[in-house]
Amino acid sequence: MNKTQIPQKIVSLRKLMKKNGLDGFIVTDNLDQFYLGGFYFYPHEAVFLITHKDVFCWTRELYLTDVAVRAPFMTTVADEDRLNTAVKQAQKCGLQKVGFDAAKEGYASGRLLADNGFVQCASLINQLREVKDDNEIKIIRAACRIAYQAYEYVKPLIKTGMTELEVAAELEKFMRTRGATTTSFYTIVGFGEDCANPHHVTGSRKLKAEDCILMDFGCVYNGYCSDITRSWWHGKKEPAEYTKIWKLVDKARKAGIKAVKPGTATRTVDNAARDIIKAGGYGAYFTHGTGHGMGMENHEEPYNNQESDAVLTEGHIVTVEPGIYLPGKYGVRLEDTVAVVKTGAKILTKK
Amino acid sequence: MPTADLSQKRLQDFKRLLKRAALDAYFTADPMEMRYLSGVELSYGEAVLLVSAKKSWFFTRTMIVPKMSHAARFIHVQDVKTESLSSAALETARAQGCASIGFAEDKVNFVLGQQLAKAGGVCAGALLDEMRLVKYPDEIAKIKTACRIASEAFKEVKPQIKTGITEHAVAALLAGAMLRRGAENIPFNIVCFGANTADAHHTASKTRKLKNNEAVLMDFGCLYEGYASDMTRSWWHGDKIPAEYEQIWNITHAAYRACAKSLKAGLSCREADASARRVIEKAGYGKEFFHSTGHGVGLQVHDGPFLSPRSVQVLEADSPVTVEPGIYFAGKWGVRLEDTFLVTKDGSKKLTKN
Repeated sequence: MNKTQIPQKIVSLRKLMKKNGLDGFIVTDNLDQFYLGGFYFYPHEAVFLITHKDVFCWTRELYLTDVAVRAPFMTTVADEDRLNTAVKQAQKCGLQKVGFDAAKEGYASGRLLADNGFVQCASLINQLREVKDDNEIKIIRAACRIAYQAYEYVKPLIKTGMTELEVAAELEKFMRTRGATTTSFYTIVGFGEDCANPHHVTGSRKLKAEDCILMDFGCVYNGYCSDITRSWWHGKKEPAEYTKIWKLVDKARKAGIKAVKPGTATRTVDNAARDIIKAGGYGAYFTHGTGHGMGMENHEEPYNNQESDAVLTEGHIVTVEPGIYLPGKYGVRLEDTVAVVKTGAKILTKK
Repeated sequence: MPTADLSQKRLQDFKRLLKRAALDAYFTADPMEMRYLSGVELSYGEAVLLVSAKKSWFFTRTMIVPKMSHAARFIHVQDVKTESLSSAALETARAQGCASIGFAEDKVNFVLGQQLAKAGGVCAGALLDEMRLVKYPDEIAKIKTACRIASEAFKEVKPQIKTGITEHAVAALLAGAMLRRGAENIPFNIVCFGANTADAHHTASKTRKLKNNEAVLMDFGCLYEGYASDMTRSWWHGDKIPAEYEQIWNITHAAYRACAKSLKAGLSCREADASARRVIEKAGYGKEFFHSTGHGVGLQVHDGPFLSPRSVQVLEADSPVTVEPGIYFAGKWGVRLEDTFLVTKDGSKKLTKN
């Protein structure tokens, strides 16, 4: 039978399996499945068994037609007892060492696999997902462009009296009209003291004539995320302290981006931004890390924070997003998504 | 008027369940479980919740603390500096002398599950899953709003679906209409034209344009304050409706009606499924109806109970469920009709309209 070519990502996974002495790997996470096969299953609706020879997929009957067309390299079978079937198939193939991702497998299903001699592994597919290829970077750039354009589109529409949710609706509608399928995370729009809460839940607070605004949002485009934050003062009487912290955060953002390049420790990126805020006297009000990796999920490795031991390489996509939050008053966060390229950082969240 | 948040009551009721199950405490890192018991909207990794008979604790990070202000009156919020959140929770459990700690075996990963098992963890996911089947008044109010938003948005968008529009453009219009009405997220948004309508979980295409005289299927819903709605509409676009399409549509509709009519507290979910399936099987299309008839709706779009031939659950009052039979012909077209219903003592109430 003429099966189409095996996707490059499966070839890469097989190399990684070999390195780890595995002759089989179970994939149940639906984003990992999308990454490998380019086909989006709903969560918990498919199980893959990858061997050095085959790609088996057990799923719900309703997917069969579509999978046959879009992922013909897999042997896809309708099955409602998928994990047990995978175990049986592994035995049938005579596989010796089949791994599964212990961080993504649920405890109940992980136990079923472990009881059958499968071995728990690190997130092998995350290791592949962390470094993006040119096509992925192109898609993420498109996702970031849509987010940036949404900011430019929405900013002049924001008028005194609008609610946070109304602004979020305008942002999301714009992004979807430009090709986004969903948002990378719940859109954060905060006014006034809500801006002092880094993970504020967008609500029905109305914008006052003199108020601060913080928008942190992004979209999913062709399966990949974008992430951007902008903060500014709405009105004419911008408090001197707001201007001061805004400038400080902007300086920290620029320093963070400047620090990004292949070979740099992510902790160094965090320090570059954090030192500026500390020197400005607001160290205690910068209550989170400077950024995070991004791809199919909005938070991925590597993390630009103090706990991380990661080192940046070409193909990493990270955010740089310092902030200062003054509880009960206001807050400022400025964020860009950047790609790590040979020469340093390339900002993706722009026109 | 928004209904008062009943999280505190749910937490109290849950503590009684823990006691009955002879558990000293319950551990969860699942955003939906945490939201259910606290009212706080969280993402995975932002917090861990530990509930014991006497006290409840959130273990979280400095930046998340402000989000918890309204739950702080009934849940102790602990700002964990460097330790992992789950380790901090397990330490507290140990200090409190909790020997048996329940957790949902399908909602923690294998690594965490092993850590829990070592610390006295007991698989107890069914406790909360079962409690969540019957909704509290605040939950019902939110689901009703989510259903109203989806229904009104569809009514607004349907006249804009004209020959030449792409699937994705329709999905975008619908999403916008739901967001403007207060939805905070659109968890799924299926728009299919032509042969795509036979693909039950199709992804809206950016290039596929609607032709005159073809089938349309839309399956959509939204989240309102964390709670979902779910509805599906199928129709023929154009005036040359094939007789077969009309016939299949009528069979699907008859199946939908039979199931809707059967719903009431006490009915087995298997029987609810059978009431729709019988109609389709009798018409000779049993094989073309290859999914279950419906599912519960709540914090998850696919919540329990499941109206399927394999289900052992029984419908209860105040439990919202979908009824969604469908018939699909690969390569040709398909029909699915779906509404969200609230099961009551002696029947049901339809929540999605238009």
